[in-house]
Amino acid sequence: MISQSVLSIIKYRIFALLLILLLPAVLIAQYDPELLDELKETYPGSKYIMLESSSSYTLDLKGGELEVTLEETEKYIYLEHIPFHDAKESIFSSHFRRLDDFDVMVYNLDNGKYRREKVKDYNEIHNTQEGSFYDDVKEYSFSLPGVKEGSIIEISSEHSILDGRMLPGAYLANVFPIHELNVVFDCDEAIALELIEWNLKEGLIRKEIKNESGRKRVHYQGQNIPPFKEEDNMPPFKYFLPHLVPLVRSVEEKGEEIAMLRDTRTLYDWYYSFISGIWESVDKTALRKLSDSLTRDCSTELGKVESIYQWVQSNIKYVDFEYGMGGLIPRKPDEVLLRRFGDCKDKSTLLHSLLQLAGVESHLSWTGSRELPYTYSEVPSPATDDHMIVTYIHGDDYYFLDPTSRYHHISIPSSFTQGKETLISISKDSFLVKKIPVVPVTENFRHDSVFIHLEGRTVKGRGLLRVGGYEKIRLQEILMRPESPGREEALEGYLRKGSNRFVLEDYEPSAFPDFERRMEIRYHFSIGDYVNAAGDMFYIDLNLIKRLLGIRLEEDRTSPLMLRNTIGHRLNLEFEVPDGFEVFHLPPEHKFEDGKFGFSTSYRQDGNLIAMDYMLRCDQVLITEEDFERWREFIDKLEDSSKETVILRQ
Amino acid sequence: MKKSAFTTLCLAIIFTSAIAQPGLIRDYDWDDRVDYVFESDKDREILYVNDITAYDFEKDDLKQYKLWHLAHLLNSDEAVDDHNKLFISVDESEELVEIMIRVISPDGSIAEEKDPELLSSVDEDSGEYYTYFAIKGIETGDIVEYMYVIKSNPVYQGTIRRMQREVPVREYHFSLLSPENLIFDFKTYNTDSVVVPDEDYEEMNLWKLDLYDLPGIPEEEYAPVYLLSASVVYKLDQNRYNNTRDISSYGNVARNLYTNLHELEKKEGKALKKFIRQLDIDDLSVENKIKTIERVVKTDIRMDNAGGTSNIDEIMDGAAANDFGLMRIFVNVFDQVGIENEVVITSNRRFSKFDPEFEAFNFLSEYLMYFPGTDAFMAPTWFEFRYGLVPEQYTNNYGLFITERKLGDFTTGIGKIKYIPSAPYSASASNHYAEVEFSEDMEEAKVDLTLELTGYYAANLQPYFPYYDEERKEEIVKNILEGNMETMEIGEWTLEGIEEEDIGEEPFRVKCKGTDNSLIRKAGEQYLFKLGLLIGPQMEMYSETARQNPLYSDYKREFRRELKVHIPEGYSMKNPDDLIFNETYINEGDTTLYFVSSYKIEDDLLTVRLDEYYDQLYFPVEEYEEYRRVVNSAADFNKVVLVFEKE
Repeated sequence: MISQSVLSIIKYRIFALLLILLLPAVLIAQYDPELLDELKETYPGSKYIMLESSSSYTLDLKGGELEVTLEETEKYIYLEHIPFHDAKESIFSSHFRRLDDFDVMVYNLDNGKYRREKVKDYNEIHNTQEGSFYDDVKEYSFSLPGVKEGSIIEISSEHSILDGRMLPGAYLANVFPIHELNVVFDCDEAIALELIEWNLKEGLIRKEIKNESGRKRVHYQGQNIPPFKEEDNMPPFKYFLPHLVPLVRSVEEKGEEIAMLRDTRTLYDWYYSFISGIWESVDKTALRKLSDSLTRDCSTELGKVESIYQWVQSNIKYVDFEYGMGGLIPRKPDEVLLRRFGDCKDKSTLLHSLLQLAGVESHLSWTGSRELPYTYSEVPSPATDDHMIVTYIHGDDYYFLDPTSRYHHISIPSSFTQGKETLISISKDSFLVKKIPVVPVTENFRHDSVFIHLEGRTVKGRGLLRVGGYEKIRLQEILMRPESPGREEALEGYLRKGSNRFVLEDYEPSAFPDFERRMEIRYHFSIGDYVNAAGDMFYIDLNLIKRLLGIRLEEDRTSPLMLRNTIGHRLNLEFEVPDGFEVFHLPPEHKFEDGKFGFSTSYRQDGNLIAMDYMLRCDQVLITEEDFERWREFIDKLEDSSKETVILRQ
Repeated sequence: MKKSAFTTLCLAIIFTSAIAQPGLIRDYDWDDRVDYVFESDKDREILYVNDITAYDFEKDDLKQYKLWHLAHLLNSDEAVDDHNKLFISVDESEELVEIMIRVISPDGSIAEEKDPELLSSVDEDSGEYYTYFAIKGIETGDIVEYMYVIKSNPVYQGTIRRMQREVPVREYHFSLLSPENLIFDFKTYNTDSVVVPDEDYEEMNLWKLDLYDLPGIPEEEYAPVYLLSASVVYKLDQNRYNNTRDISSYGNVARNLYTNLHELEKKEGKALKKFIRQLDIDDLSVENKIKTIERVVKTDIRMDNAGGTSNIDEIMDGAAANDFGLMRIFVNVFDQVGIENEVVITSNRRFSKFDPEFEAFNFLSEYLMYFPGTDAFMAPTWFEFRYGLVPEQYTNNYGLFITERKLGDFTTGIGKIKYIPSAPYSASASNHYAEVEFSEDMEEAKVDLTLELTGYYAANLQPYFPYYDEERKEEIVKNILEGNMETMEIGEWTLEGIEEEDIGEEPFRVKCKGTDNSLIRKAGEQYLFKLGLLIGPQMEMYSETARQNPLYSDYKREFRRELKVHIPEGYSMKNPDDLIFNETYINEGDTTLYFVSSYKIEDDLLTVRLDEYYDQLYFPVEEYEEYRRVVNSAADFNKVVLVFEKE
C-alpha cells in the first residue's frame, strides 16, 4: 500500500551544503558505466556491494542547547543481476532519532548509460521492531524499480538526534564489502566529544583530526573494507565488528562546564530523574494489600523477597511499550498491578514497590543484556544498558532479581544478563556498579544417575536426574506446558540418551511449579536395538550423552564463541552385564583438563556391573581467541572419547 | 487501469434501505452472556463463539458487517500469554465499528475494559493491516471475553469459516443475514449439522448453524488439521430482484478472468511485443519455448504481490509485478507465440481442499498454468518452481481450468473442474552414492560422496544457485554436506547441475571427497564400522505416543543409495546380513511404501544398494502404523554397524 501521507509529517529541507562539500565526486558527477567492470575486478565473486557508506555527525551549541544532526548516505551497486533479491530499502525514524529528510535514487543502466530515477513511493510502517509489542520506530520502505546488473541505489537521510546522550554509534564494516567508507564528526570545540573506538584494528581505517576556527573535525575513512563472515555461535556484532561509540562528555557554556556523560555518576544522575517520582500520585491500597498477603507467613526477610519475587514472575505478563520517554521512565506500580502486564521497567518498579511496602530495602538497577559488550566505566551511556532489574542486598550477598524471568530462584539472574554490569540505585546521590555473576557449574548443572540392563538388544533403564540453575528452569518450563503430545516430546528430547530410539516410558518429577534452585526427575526409558550384535559379541556404547561435539572451531575463526550458559554435566551409569556374557573389552579412560573447560570418561568393572562415569564442564560463556587452540584440543579429545565401545562376549 | 481477477456485480435493489447496521448487530446484547461455567481442570477452552455476518445496503452499496463475540477460558500461564493481546485484522478499506472487552473472574466479578489503547500496525510481507491492544488485568483462571464489529465492502462469493480449533469449543453459533432479495447457499464439512434458514426472523433473511462441544484438534506433525475441522462455506447464490442465479458460479469467473487477463491497453500491447521480440525463441521446441519464457519473466521481472502492479507497461519499465500482473504477462506471451495454455485457479490444500461439488470463490486463491500440448503444469508466481513442478500444496487437488472458446469473432473463457495430480515419487529424489576406503592404520575412513537432489528437494537450491556469490554457495554446500555426514571433514567439493538450464533437467549434485574418523572405531582386535551413517540422518517416528489424526505428507519422494566399501585387507565382515532390510506396504495391490536393501561382495568390495520410496500421501489413523514402520526402517538402517574381524 503506497501512501503519501507521511509528507505532511516530514519537513522537507534543502540538503545541507556540508554533505555536498564532503562528497563532491558523487553528487555532482554522473556515474561512469565503466565503474561496474572495475568493481567486478576488485570484488570477484561478490554480487552486491556497498559502494559508499558515509555518516556525518554535526554537533552544535545553539542558545546553550546541544543540537545534533546525522546525515547518512548509503550507496549500493549490483555487480550482477539477482532476480529474487528483495529490491527494497528502508529508512527508519524514532522518537530520539527523528527523520527529517530523505532521498532515494536508483540509477539503472540503459543502453550503456546510467538513467536516474527518484523513488517517490514508499510504505510507511509503524511499530517495526521485532519482538516489541509497541514502539515508536517508523519504517519508510522503498521499492526500487528496475534494478539489474549495474544498478546503483543511493539512500540519503538526515536525522535529528533529540538528546545528545543518545548518539547512535557508527559501524565501520558490514556484511557486504564497503568500497568507500567515511564517518565524520564535526563538532563545536565547546563540546567535549569523545569517540570510543571499538574493535578497531591497525590498517584498514585511517583517522584524521583537524581543529579549525572553533570546530573540531574527526574523519574516519577506509576503502575496500572486506565483509565480515557469519560464524556459528558467534556473539552479537558489537563484540567483534569495528565501530565507534560517540560520547558527549560535557559542554562548555559561558566558561562553565556542564556534564553530560562524563562518567557513570553523570549517567546515574540523569537516570535517577526517571525513577525519582515513582511513588508520586500512586494509590498504595491494592499494592499494600497484596504485599501484606504475600509476606504474612514469611518469617525472614529473604522469605519475603522470595514470595514477592515469585508472585511478580508468575502473575505479571511481559508486554512492552517502547516509545519516547516511555522507553526510559517506568509506569506507576499501581497501574502495572491493575494491568497485569508491563515491560522490564514496569515489572521492576512493581516488584520494587511491593518489597518496599513489605519493609524490604531493594534497588532499581539498570543492566545490559549480553547483546551489549560495554561496561559503564568504558561507556557511561545508554548504549551500555537495555534492561532493568531489581537488586536486593542481604549482608554481603547480592541478588539480581529479574521480574521478566520465569521460575527463577532469587539466586539465579536471568541468563542473558550473566557477566554484565548492573548500575544499582542506592539513593539520589549514591549508586553501585556490580557485575552480575556468570552462574557457575556448581549451580547450573545436570547430574544424571542411570542404571541400565539389556532385554535382547534393547537397553532398558531407570534414571534420576538432578538439575540446577538454568537446566532446572528449562525442565520446569517443559513440565509447565499443558498436557499434550508436544509436551511429552519435549520432555523426551530433554532426557534423550543414546540414540533417537530413546523412548521415555514414565517419569515422576519432584514438586512443581517451584522457584527453588534445584529439582529432580525420576524416569524409566528404553533405547530400542541399541546394542550391535555380531556372532557371539555384543557392542555397546555406554557414552549415552554427546554434547558439544559439533562445536568445532574452524582454523580461520575470527569471532569469539558464545555459549548461552555454563555447562556442568555428569552421568554416573551402571550397566548390568547380562547372564552368560563376559566383558571382552573395556575402553580406557579419556580426559582433558583446562582451567576453563574439560571432560573425563572412565569405565570400571565391578562384578557383573560396569560403571561408567562421565563429566563435561565449561565454566565460561565466551571463548575468545586466546583459548581457541585449547578448545580445539578439548573437542578433539572429546570426540575420541565418544568413539569408545564396550564389548561383551557370550 | 487497475485490473483484478474478479469483477464486482451489481446487486442493488431499487428501494434502498437506510439502515446503518442490521438489527441483529445493532441491537446485539453483549451483557446477556456472563453465565459461563468455569472448569478448572482444563488448560484452556473457547467457551462461546458468536459469528454473525450481515449484508445490507447503504444507499446503493452493499456493505458487510462482521460481528465476532468470543469467550476464552484461560487456565494456564501460557493461555494467558496467548490471549492478553488481541490482534484484529482491519484492512485500510475496513472500519472497526465497535469493540467491547471484559475479563470475568471465577468469583463472578466482571472488569469491563472501557477504553482500550488501540494500536495499529501492518505486516510488511502480507500487507495486512491490523489493530491490536493488550487486555488489562487478566489472571490465570479468568475468562476473557470480547466482541467487535467490522464494517467493510462485502465478500460474498465464497468464504470458508473454520469452526473447530486446536482447543475445544463449547458453543459455536454462526449466523448470516442478508437483504430479502439475496439468497445464500451453504455447505458444511466435518459435521452432520447443516445451515438452516430461520423463518421466524422477519427483518431480513437469516440462516443459522449452531454447534456444541467441538473437541479440540491438537497440532500433530503432518496432520491436516484444517481439513479435519468442522467448517462451513457460504456464498451468494441468487438475486431475486433481477432473477439472477448461480451468482458465485465458476462460469462467471472463467469469463471475467479471461477478459481481465487478455484485454490489453495499447501501451501494454506494445511493451509486450517488444518483450517477445527480445526473447528469440522461434527455433525452439514448445517445451523449451515455455521454459525460456518462464525463465526470462521470473528472472527479469521482480515479483512483489503486496506492492506490485498488474500493468504490463509499467512492469516492463522496471516496476514490480503482482501475481495478477505476472499472469497477464504469461498468458499473453504464450498466446502470442502460439503456445496453447490454460489458466488454473485452485486452493492451498493445507487449508481448504478444492470442492469439485460446490462452486465458491474461496477455492480460487492460487494460480497455476497448464499446457495441454505437453501435459505439464507451471507455477507462474513462484520463483523456485519451474515448468513441470508446482508447489505441492496446490497438487493432489482439484482446480478450475480456464480454456479459450471461440464464438464467431468473439473469444471468451470457459471453466472446467479437473484434477491436479501430485508429482510422481520419481520426480523428487534425494540420492546418496558413497565409496569408502580405510586408511592403513584404520584410524580414518576416506569417503567419496555424491549427493543428488531433484524435484522438491532441489527447488529451493537450483533456481537460486546461478545468482549466489561464492561465499553463499560454499556456505550452502557445507550445510548440505554437514547435514548428511555430520562428522565428516569436508575436503574438495564440486557442484553439478547448477546452471539455469539444468533446472528440472539435471539433478543438483554435490560431489565431495572427505575423511571421517568417527565412522570407524576400534573394539579390541576388531573394528566397528558405522555404515548406516553413510545414508545421513533419517526422519524417525519412534515416539510411542498414539497417533490422533491422519497424516498427510507434502509430496511423494524417493531415495536411492549405493554404498561401496573396500573391506580392509586381512579382515572379513562378521554381520553382513544386518544390511538386509525389507519393509514395504501394499495398498490395494500397489506397493505404495518401499524400503528394501541388499548387498553383494565381489573380491574385497562390498556394495550395498538401498531403495526407498513413498507413493502415497494420505494415511488415515488406521494406516499410520504402516507409514511409521517403513519410515523407521530407514532410521534403523542409519544405525547399522558392521564388524570387521581379523581373518
